[in-house]
Amino acid sequence: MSITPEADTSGPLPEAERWASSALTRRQIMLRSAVSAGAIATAALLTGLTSGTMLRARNNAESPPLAPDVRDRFMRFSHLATGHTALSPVLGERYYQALTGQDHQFPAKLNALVDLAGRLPRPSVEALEEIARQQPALHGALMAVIRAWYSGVVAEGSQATVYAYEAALMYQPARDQVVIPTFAHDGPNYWVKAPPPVSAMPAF
Amino acid sequence: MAEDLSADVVIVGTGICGSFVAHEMAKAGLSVIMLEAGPRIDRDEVVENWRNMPPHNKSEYDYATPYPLVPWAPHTNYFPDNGYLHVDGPDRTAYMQGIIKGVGGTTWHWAASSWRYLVNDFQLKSTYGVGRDYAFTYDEIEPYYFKAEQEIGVCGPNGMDIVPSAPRKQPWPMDSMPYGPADRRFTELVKPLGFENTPVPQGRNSRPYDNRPQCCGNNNCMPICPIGAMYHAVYHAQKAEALGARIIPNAVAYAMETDAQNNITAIKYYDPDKQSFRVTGKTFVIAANGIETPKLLLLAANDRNPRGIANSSDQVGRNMMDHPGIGMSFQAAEPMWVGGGSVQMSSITNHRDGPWRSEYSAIQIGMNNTAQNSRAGMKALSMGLVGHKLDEEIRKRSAHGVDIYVNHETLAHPDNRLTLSTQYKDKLGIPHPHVYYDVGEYVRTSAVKSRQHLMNIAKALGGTEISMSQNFTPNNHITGGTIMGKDPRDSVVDGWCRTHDHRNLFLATGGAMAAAGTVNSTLTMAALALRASEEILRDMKHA
Ligand SMILES: Cc1cc2nc3c(=O)[nH]c(=O)nc-3n(C[C@H](O)[C@H](O)[C@H](O)COP(=O)(O)OP(=O)(O)OC[C@H]3O[C@@H](n4cnc5c(N)ncnc54)[C@H](O)[C@@H]3O)c2cc1C
Ligand code: SF4
Repeated sequence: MSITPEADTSGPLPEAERWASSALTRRQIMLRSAVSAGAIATAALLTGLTSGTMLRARNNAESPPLAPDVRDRFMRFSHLATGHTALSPVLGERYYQALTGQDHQFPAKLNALVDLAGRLPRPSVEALEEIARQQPALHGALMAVIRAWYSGVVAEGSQATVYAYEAALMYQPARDQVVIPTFAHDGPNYWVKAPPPVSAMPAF
Repeated sequence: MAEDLSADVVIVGTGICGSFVAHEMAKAGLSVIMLEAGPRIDRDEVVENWRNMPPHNKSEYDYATPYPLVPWAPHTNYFPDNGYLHVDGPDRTAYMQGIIKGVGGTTWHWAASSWRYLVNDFQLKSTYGVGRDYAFTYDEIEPYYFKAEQEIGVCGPNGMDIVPSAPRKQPWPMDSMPYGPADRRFTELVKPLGFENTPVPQGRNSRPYDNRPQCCGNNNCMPICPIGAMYHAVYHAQKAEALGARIIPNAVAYAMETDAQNNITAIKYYDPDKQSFRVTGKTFVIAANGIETPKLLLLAANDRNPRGIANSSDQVGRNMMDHPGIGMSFQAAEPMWVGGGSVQMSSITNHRDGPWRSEYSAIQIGMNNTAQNSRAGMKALSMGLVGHKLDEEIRKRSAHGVDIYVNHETLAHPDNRLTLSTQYKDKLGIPHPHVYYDVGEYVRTSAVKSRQHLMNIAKALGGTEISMSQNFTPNNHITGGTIMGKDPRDSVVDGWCRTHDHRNLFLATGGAMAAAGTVNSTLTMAALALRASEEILRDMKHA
């Protein structure tokens, strides 16, 4: 169907002087490694259904599955950290592994955050964030969990691996009015009707 | 490989210009070979790639990364800058253009705003004493504009009286799509300032057209329309193929052979392994866009044409133009809800022409209708908010965020010049393009007023967090590099896009455009390609 770019096709080709393609090409290959849900995606677009969480199938082979109790603890903590409970455990597992890959102290920090939250009289992310400020390392871990669920990535910048797009929480607060680009919002001309009040936060 | 590569018409490039020519030739029963430097592009894969692109890139409007990038046909990508297009000069940032190499070309990720130029845009020099004239008048291109609109499928504001606008003999093939909330409100809010915000003619379907569906407002036109409601040139590449034209992908044209009459006899191309092939033909068309067309002509210099093909005037690569822009973003006082419909629904057009053009550029002002949610999310996260506050901030920014731009016309200036890089080469050993760019006083004078217009608009919308680009921004409307004119001493092609130097060589590209006007230039390029096609067919009949 398409040509897979090979950065280092040496063969008879002269070496490029400054063709900085290696990083890009790595990214292209990464992009390609994502599930190609072509037909499903197209059908979903036409009908306005979403095609489920888009996941990057990276690292799977290397990382063993999480122990159920670790995953459940991370999910419970994620519910608190985001204020939302409709979160995918599959995605949670990926985030946990990616956060741990980025910071080997993450599991320990998570445990400390869970303890801290347990000591709050009325657990909420607002209260947790406030007390965690006194311990910058824990605060950083809390914000990293929130950033992952909201943005769908764990790393920053344009080389980040994407774990979720339309399931990323940042697309939900305005989803009643603003399309998640490429995913049909409604039928043609849906945009003619009056928009909802900004105060009416959709449930998600 | 003793294959005989030969056709009546050999075309380099499968973008809108090349594909339009190929389609006309194939319809007339001529044999056609199209050489395309890049690979075939698969829509579903690009959609997937886009979805899998980091939110940082989405929020910064990265349109190139989802497209396959192959080392034998590098195109530009600025996330980060891959160093393909080198620009220097006082306004280097304003010429960091986007192009795509692959079957279908750059309209894969255009926004499909499909304007006609105004009568005076074609006669800037005669009317205002600045810039250059085209080698024909508006009346002479009008029928080709209409044909291009039919081929693309353009929806436009039929029945509305917009001043100034290009006179039409026929209505647009489709009526405009209705505005979303942001375009409706923006139109009302800027009216008291004297700005007429009017519907953009768009190459997308406001009803099913040409076997493609109606736009359903997925708001992802740049970089990829997931359902093909927006026109891309790949449709004409495919139509030409269905009529027998042959597309050779991954074929990078790099040389041309000429005979004693200086006619072109063959084009040579490399495959990805740098094997060379030779294609012979009767007529040759270079339609490799505004960057690669002059680059190829310079690269193909030979003994008879030591300065480059078609370059006896020394104008190949000069007069590079675009519409240098100034961007502004802010949070409006009231919710605008940008993002309903396509990414480009309306623009302010009553500053496109006027007597001031003898002194400073005419402008187009517009509001981008790209959904603000990616940007809103990333910004709210960077503020360190959590819980309800975070959700509320994202919703608020999605509703109130606004991006406005002003685009300026530029004048053709020979110093704004594309040359072959002496430093950088691609994997095939072909030099990268290098451009020197200075927008000039004509634009700078206008820009002072543009910044004032922008501030007035921000004020009218009660804007806060106003930020404006300090440098000029590029707009990808690459024009001028193989400029048209009546005099072979100071121009490259005539009014039919035939090169002055080679009877059987045509350049179907924005490079031929003699003045940039204020609006997106592809419809004009497409009309030029159709004009060139007619001339080629006339040649063939008389041959
Ligand atoms: C983000 C973006 C948005 C845009 N939005 C708009 C818009 O709303 N309205 C508008 O009017 N314009 C818009 N444009 C501009 C528009 O895309 C271009 O004007 C148009 O694509 C030019 O068509 P073309 O056929 O000349 O070139 P292209 O579409 O660039 O096609 C040229 C083809 O030639 C091939 N080629 C190049 N060199 C060689 C070679 N040596 N050998 C073989 N093949 C070669 C290339 O690979 C390419 O496929 C936009 C551009 C960008 C980047
Ligand atoms: S708004 Fe959506 S459906 Fe319409 S043209 Fe753009 S991407 Fe395609």
